[in-house]
Amino acid sequence: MQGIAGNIAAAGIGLRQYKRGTAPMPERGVLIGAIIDACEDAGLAPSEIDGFASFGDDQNEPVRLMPDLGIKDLRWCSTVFGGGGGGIAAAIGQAAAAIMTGQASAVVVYRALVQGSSGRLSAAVMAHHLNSHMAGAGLVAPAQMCAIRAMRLFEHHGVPPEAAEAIVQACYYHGSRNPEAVAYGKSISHEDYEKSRIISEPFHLFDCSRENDGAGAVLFVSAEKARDLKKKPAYVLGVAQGAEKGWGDLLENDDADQYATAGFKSVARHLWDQTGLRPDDIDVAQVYENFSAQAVASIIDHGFCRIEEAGDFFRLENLIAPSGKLPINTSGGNIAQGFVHGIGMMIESVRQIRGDSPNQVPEAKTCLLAGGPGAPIVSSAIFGSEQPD
Amino acid sequence: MTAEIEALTSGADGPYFEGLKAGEIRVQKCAGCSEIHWPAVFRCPDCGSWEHVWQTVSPEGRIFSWTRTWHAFGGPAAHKPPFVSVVVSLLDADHVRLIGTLDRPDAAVAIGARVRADITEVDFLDRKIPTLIWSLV
Ligand SMILES: [Zn+2]
Repeated sequence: MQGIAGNIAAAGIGLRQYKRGTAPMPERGVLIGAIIDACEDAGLAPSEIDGFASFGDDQNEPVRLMPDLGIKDLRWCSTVFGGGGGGIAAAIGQAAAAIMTGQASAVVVYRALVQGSSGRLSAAVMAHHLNSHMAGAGLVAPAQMCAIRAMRLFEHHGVPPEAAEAIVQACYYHGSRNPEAVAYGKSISHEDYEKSRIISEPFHLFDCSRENDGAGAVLFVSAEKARDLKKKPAYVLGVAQGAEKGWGDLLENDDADQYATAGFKSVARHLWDQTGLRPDDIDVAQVYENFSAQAVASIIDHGFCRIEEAGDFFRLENLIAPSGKLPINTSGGNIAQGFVHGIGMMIESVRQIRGDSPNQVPEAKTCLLAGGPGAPIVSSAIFGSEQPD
Repeated sequence: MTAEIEALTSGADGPYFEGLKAGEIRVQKCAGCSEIHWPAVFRCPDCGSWEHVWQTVSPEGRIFSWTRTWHAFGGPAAHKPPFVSVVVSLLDADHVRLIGTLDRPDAAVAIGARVRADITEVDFLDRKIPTLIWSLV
C-alpha cells in the first residue's frame, strides 16, 4: 500500500482575516478571495481546481464556489465530521486520498467563518454537541467543556497551570512579531494574564482563542505537479485522524487514562508509525489551541514530553523561535494571530517549510500540525521540505 | 417521555431522564451480560444484546472534575454565574460519571470529594430538563 509519504504537497496559500464583524463581504465572497490568493500564490488558474475538502461544519458547499472560480469540472467534495477543529488535518488526508487515487488533481482545503453569515463559531460548535446532560448542568460552551478537562489535568495529574500560561505567552511572543497578527506589537505580562477575568475555572480570558472573521485556503496537488508551480512545495509526510476506544463524545465518561488528554492517543501513534518520524525529528509545530491547556495536553499526547515533565518542558524559552526545543504557533496561533477555526495554523505550517514565516525556525525541515484538541475526533499532519525517498 | 426531552438526547438514554422525573438515578444494564453501559447504548458491544434493564443506583459519588463558570454563556437561567458544574463518579458504579451542578457556588470543591445528589428541573430553550444538583457531604 502506498503511503502519503510526500506524494502530495501544499502549493498555494491564501488567508484573509478581519476583526470580528468587519469583513468587507459575506462569507462566501471572503472565501473566494482566499482561494484566488492561494491560486495566485501557486501560479495555478482557479478554473483548474477540481476538488475541495473542509471540516468543522463549514457552510460553503463547494458547488456554490464553481461560478466565481470558473471551475469547469468538479470531481471531489468532502468534509470531516465534527463541529470543532478536530478535523482540520484530516481534511488534508482527504485531499491526499483524492489526489493519490486520481479522483482529483487540485484540491483546496478551506475554512471560512464570517459571523454575519454563519453566526458565532462557539455557538455552532456547541449546537453540534449539546444534549440535556450538559445543558442541565449549565455546560453550554466549548470553554466550559475544555475547562473541566483542564481542571483534572492540573488538579489530579499535577500539571502546573504555568504550563498553560507558557502556551499563551509563546503565542503572544510570536504574534507580537507578526505584522498580520491581531496581537502585532502587543505583549502581555504575567500580571496581565493573572488579572484577566476568569471565564470558566481554571481559564482566564487569555487562555481562550477568540474568533475572527475570515477565510483560509490551501491548495494541494501531487508532488510532481507542485514542483512545476511557483512556490517551494510543502510536502505532506503523513496524516492521521480518529479516536481510540475510551475517547469521544461520551458525556465525560472517557477512560480515566484519556480523560485529561487532548484525545490524540491513537492518532499520534498512527502519525509516527506512518511517517517513521519521532517527536525529536520535528523542527516546529503548529498546535491548535482552542484553549491553552488543551495545547499542553496535545503536545504531551504527541510525545514531546511526559506528563510528569510538563513543568520543565512548558517554559517560554522552549516554545519560541528560532531556537526553542519546540517552537510552537510561530504566527501567533489561534490565540494571538487570529482564529478562523484554525486554518491559519495550516497556512503557517506551509510558511515554515517554505522559509517564509514571520518567526522562522532556521532551515525547518518538518512541521507538525496538531488539529483541534479535545474534540471527539482529532487529527494531525506533518509537513516536510523534502519528499522522502 | 416528552418529546421536549427526547429532542436533546441520543434516544438510548431516554429512561435515564424518565428515572430522574420519577426521583431516581437509573443506569443502563445489559440484559444479556449484566454490563453497565454509560453513555447508554442501543446495542451491547460486549455480548450483542439489544435488551437492557435500568437499574436504580444510590445518588452518591465522588467529584471526578469540575469547573466554576464566571462568564454568562447563556445556559439555563437557574444557573446564574458563578456556578459550579461537576462530573461525578457514582459510588455504586464508579465507571459511570454523571454531570450536574453543585448546590453552592462557593463550596470547597475538590476532585475526590464525596457528594450526594438531589434531582431538580431547569428550563432551557423552552424545554424542562431534569438534572442533578450535588452537595458536598
Ligand atoms: Zn451485554
